[in-house]
Amino acid sequence: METQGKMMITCKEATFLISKEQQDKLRLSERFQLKLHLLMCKYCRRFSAQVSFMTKAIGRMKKRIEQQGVEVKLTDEQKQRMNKRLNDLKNN
Amino acid sequence: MPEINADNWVEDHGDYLYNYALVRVSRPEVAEDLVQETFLAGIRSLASFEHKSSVQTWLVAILKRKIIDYYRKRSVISEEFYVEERFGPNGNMQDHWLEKHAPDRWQVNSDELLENDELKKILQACIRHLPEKWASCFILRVMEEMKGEVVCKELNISPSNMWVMLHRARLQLRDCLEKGWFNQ
Repeated sequence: METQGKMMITCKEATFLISKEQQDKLRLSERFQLKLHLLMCKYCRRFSAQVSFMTKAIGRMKKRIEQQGVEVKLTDEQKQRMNKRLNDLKNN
Repeated sequence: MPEINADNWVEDHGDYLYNYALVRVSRPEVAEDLVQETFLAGIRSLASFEHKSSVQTWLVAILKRKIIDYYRKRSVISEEFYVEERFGPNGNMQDHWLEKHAPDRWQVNSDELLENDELKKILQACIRHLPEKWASCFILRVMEEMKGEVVCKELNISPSNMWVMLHRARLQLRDCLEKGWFNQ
């Protein structure tokens, strides 16, 4: 979405920049456009806060999963299935 | 070099790999398949194992590759899904939030909420329900933290395409979280 050269951007464009900001640095002009839009638009302010919250929540979720490691165990049936196919391969 | 014995792989590494996969592909049957394929690929390429890392680390690296391949295949399948337009004209403004899609207020008590197990479950479910085309992009870029260029290369998409997909995924996740958690 190209917003270059505009002073006022739409909500559609603003939300796109908010999304992009989660991963990438915005250009100076984009940061300015977004700031200006956020001053005037409460829905996009909410969107921005909520998306940041989601990013944090996902980060936290990942960390926990890494720390916990094993949460769900394979069932005996699944293990048997796997071992069977591994043995088939070895015996061929 | 000690000989590697793969007889106990399923017992020793199965659960770990399964969990690793499950977080990234969500669907248990797919996760099981990917782990199975990882073991098979591991046995086939045992000769190339260089003992620089543990067997588990090495198997995880193979599994990672399998997950990327899985998403690459999924991302080219054209699924039919309906993209709801969230923006439209409002007074003299173009592309403004449409009333029914505008973000509601969330009662976010951040730090406490971030630790909430129930929220984590809903978030995972929401990610699981993303159309796979967007999910592929979102998982690789956001969950796997792969570099943008790498994601584009793997999925054979342009950077602007990637940004659009990530954005759509976020719009949808936000809606899903709002419906599933904040507006109960």
